Amino acid sequence: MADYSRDEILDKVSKKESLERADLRDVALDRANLEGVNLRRADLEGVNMEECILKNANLSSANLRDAYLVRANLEGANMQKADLEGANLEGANLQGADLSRANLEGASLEGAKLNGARLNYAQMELANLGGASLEGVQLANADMRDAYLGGAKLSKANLQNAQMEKANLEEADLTGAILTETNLRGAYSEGANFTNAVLEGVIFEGAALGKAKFADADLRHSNFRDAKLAGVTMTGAKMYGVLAKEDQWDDIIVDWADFTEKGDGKDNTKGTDFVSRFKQMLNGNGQSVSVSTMAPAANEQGKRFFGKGDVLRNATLEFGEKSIVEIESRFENCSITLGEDAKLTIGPNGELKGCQIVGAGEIMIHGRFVGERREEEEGPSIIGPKILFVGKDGFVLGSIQQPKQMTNFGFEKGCKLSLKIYKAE
Amino acid sequence: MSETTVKQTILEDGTEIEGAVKSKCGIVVSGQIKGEVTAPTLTVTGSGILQGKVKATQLSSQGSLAGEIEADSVELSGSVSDNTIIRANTMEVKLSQNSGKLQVAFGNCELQVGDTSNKKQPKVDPVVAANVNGNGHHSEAKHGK
Repeated sequence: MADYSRDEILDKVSKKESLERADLRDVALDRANLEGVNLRRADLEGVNMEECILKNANLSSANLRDAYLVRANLEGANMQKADLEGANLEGANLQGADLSRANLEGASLEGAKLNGARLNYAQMELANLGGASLEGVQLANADMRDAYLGGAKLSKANLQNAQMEKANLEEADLTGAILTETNLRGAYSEGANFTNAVLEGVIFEGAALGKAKFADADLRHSNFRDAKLAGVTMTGAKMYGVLAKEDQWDDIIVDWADFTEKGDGKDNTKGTDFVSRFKQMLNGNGQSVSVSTMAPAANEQGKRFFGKGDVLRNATLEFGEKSIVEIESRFENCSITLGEDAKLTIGPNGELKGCQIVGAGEIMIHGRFVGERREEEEGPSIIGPKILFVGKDGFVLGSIQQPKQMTNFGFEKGCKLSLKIYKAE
Repeated sequence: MSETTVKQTILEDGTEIEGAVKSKCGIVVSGQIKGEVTAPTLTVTGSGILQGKVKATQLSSQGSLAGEIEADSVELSGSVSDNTIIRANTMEVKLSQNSGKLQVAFGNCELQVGDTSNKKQPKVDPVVAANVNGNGHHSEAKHGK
């Protein structure tokens, strides 16, 4: 049984008394005025709070599982770490509310107003945010896998590092939103508007993006492998380091694009030259994808340069025979294939972490190579090189499988090694 | 002019020793040693085989190494057999410029060279550090309120 009746609760609220930790299950609180109430850690599981006024209320760590909060006014409420799993918040007003680290798994927020709300690190897996207003909302690091955001208004929202795998963003408005390193793998985003959005390092792998708008968006280092891009608008997009296959750009709308490393628009490419410019970023054999526009000193055929400060994650790179590859940036969990006699140099600033290098190439390490792999499942971190040379400042932690002809090793005095060496099988 | 002679133990080609060898002077191995070997400097020539538990300050090998090798500095060519572990502060292997000829032929082995802990040094609380007594145990620090 609940600690208080509806009338007792309203009486306490009028006297500004706290209801912290109160057990209020089974109390009907629909249309009640509970403005500013302290319900911290209160148990409100399954409570009917339809059109309830909870403006500026303290609901932090409260249990609101399966609560009925349709059209409730929660403007400015403190709902940090609240448990709202399965709650119904359709049409609710949550503007300026703090829902950081709240659990909204499977909750319905259709048509809710969340403008300016804080939802950092919120659990929103399978949540329904269809048509919701989320302008300027803070959703950094939120878990929104499989969430429905069709037609949602997310302009200027901060979605940095959010997990949005297989989320639905159909016709959503993300104008000017920040999605740096957000995971949108396999997301359904047909017709979504990413105009002027910051999408650096976003994973769009396998996403459906037909007719999406990327005008003036910063797409540098984003991964579009296997994404459907028919009819997308790319005019003014920053393209440096984008991962994709060249034939993915066959049906796009683009007047011009920016391929410069800094994305400063100093070297704009006309739409008619878009594909050929993109091809310049492809490797010699053109099968998989390589990245980077060329550094001034590395412009000759087959030479690739990855500059300091760039980060490349989860990419598959293939370099044709006799390619020359220089890495001064950071690669994480990348799979690199070297053609016959390709030369890969990890420069003093270069770092490869969790990567695998396969092929009969020459590997020169002056920076860091940290294997960090599950060797039993994934095999050695370096397989089949003709040459492995580690310079005096080089650092190698990993394992190497030699080819039948055996590897020609060179280690300069001063290098650091934790290296398992295997003969050819 | 006086001439100084550096004392060395030389194990000629065709000689085999099995057991423990401990020397205060350097050892040059052109033959074969199998067992525990401790010496300040160890030189294994092209015909030499060194197999077992080896400890040296400096190790230079052009021959064959096998077992558990520990040295401050290692200069390596020749071959390293299967199931060998080499631990050293520094190691030098010159890259062969002659394609088709290897400087070192490595079997299934492990190299541990330099500090590869890949960890940042932990910060030491000066109060705790100051209260570690001679036995390595923490003594209780008394603080006023």
